Amino acid sequence: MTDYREHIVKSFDEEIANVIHLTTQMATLVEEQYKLLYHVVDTGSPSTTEDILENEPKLDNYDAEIRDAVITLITLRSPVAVDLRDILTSLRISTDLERLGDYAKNIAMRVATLEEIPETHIKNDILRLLNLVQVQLKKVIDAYVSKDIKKAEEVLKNDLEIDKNYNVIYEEIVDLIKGKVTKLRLLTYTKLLFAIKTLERAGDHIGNIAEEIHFIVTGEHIDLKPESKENNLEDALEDSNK
Amino acid sequence: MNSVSLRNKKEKRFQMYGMTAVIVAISFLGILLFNIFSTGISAFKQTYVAVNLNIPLDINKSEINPRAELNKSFLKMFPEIQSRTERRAALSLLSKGARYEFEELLDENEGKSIEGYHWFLASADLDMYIKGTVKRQGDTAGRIDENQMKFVDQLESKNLIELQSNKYLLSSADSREPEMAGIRGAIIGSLYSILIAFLVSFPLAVMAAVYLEKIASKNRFSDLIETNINNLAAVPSIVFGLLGLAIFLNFFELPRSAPLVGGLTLALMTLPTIVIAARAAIKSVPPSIEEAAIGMGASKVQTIFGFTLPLAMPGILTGTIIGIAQAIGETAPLLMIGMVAFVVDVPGGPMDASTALPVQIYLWADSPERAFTERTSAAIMVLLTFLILLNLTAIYLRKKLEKKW
Amino acid sequence: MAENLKVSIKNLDVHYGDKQALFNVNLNIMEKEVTSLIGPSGCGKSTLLKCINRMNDLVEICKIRGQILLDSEDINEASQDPVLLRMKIGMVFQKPNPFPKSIYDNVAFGPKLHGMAKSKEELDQIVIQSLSKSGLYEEVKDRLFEPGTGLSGGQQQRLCIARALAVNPQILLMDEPCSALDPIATAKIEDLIAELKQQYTIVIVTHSMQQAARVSDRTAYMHMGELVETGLTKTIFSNPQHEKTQDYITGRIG
Repeated sequence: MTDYREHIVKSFDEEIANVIHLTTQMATLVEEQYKLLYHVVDTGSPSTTEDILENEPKLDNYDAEIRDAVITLITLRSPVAVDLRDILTSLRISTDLERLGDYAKNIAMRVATLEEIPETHIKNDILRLLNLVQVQLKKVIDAYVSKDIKKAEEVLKNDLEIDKNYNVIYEEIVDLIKGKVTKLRLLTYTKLLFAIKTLERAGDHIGNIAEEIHFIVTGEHIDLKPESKENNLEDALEDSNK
Repeated sequence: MNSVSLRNKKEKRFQMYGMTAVIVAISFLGILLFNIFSTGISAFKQTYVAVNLNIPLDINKSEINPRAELNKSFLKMFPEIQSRTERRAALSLLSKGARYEFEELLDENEGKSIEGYHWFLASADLDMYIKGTVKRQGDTAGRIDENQMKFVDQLESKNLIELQSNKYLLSSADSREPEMAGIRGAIIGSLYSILIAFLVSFPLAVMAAVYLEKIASKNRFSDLIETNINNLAAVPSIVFGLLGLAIFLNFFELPRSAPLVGGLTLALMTLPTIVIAARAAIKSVPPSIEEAAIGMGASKVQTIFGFTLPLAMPGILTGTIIGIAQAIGETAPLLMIGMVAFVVDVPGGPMDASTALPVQIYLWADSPERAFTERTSAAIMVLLTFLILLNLTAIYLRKKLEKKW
Repeated sequence: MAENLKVSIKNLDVHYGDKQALFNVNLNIMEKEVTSLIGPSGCGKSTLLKCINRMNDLVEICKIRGQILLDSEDINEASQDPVLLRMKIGMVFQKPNPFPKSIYDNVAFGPKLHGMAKSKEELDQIVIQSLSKSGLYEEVKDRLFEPGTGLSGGQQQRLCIARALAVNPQILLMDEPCSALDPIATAKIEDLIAELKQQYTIVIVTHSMQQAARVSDRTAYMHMGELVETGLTKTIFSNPQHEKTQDYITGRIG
């Protein structure tokens, strides 16, 4: 945990700890959602999808609780400096977490309703991508709990991996679409494209969380996200003309 | 609950002790005041004898010998008088000052005839009998012998003896004859002394207090001075008298018995009292006001005279008046510098020989004549009145000036 | 915010007898800004404030070493007159201390003392202007000759501010000016400070961090006679450099 000294008013410490605790718990639940998602992608199990859906309202609850706790803290305690950063960024992180939970739900819904079973190598690639996201998620949660900016910086760097993987699968599926496909198959591939795009988005949000953690600890903004193809118009144009 | 009732009993007992102490103190005061009052009240009246006069218009007033004329008129009222003893007895019923009253009467009635009964001051002996201070025993009363008593009875039966207000008490100076003795000289002497004491001690004391409190640096030396001033206030007043004798009379050779010297000596006495009161008053001025003034760019002197002193004035004045009230009643130092002399004139100025109220009281108290007893008490009453007035002034001033902030 | 240096305090050591109250303080006060001094009790902030207008001269056992430059001139030099200095630097105290005089006379005191008005009309003008600048004129214009001590606490403090402004100072020193006032009076004074800083350089000592945060442009944090950190207020309160500063402002030490 942090090595900051205690506040003179102990209840202040308790209230900040509560916000961090709520955020951590929300993050843990999101981790759980992605674990369930892996199972859904692997087996297409409808009951697991149900489980993911059932957890959604709990995530919304956490979101609301965190928001209320932060507003109360600001109103009643007038926090400054590190205390203020702690709770304000926890608020922002909870938004990112809520998005991540949403993505897990969306991907699960899509995969569960796929028209046809995709090629095995595609499924395995997607599972690998999903695994990367899970690893990043765990790492960023650890970094948040222990305020470890080294871990946060690693997460930011590894986002590049996720982008790379995403691009590979993207190309694969596009290649398949370019070939001869039935309408149903095309629908399947389209849904898969959406799914992997969402996973790539999830990686971005995890990167956001890593940036927030850096801000909490240092009070400074940094943008360590490496250049990806998405931000480079030239490269993108070049690709599309291939 | 036993301890509570015990405590209540203790409280009640304590209250009772307090009440008792107050009652005892007030009783003593009451007895003292009653004593003085009952003795002195009679001094404000004086016995007068009516004499039948017959001074025709055309007599040249300047040729009249007032004493002889008055005596003649008086003796005419007792046609049966034959011997010289009887004559002397009768005439001694009148005061020696009666002739001056007769002179005044003549002057007032320039160009007029004087007819009928006029009142003249009686002797002290007669006065004592009439007032009842000296009791009648058979045919004598005190110094009034049988011969005189005959005439006294006659006069009384004809209502020719009366108690009138004693105009000599407050308007004349001291005299050998008690019936003519007054405290005017003493009052004026006291007033001059006090005035000089005030004029000398007040500015000196206030400036000294200002210097010690505000300007001098606080170190061992200033502590020493503070201790010494506090001690001076406790020095017996007779020591100041000796000091006055040595310095003002012997060294400076100022006139003996003058209120100037008395005032200077009293000034020395009241100086420490006023310094102590002024220091306390100056200390009690809240420093915030002075800080504000200095913060505005006022110099130390401007702050002291513009703010500190005006705010300290109530306390300074109260202390001054208490000091003055003390000084009015001081006898010992005035005795040492010679204001004990028997002075018959009301002093014209502070350099004239004079006496002071407490000294006058001392002198009269010392006199064997009965008539001076009541006068001593009367003089004490006058002195006490002054003190009460001064204290009331102190209270009034303090209340009035306190409101300002 | 102007960026000119108004007061420069260099290597300031202050001793009260044997006890040292300030240790090597270096601080710059910028012109027409509000600089606040914060810190726990006994940290020396009032002492530092009083050095600026030489009020510490009143305390005999106080010894000062170091330089305090007002517009590049050392105020403690023997040739400098503290009386003139206090015309340039006004002071407002913790407990409002109007003189036991009328409202008019309170404000007129300074100008009269220093001969700033040549006629009664001029003096009237100065009084009205000062009272207006401190936001008090409308409330007291009908009772200018009533005693200043009859006003409420907040009004009295504004009267003291008007009194200080009447001599046209360059700097206004405020020693916990609101600590004896209720929240509304406090807010009025804070509003006044925001206006006054357009014309005057203000240094304020305050116990309330929130007040320092609301009111000042720059903040200096002091601890046990040392100046720990100084900087823009928003930086000090959002991301201070020193752990001691952060501990104080977040309530981790007294």
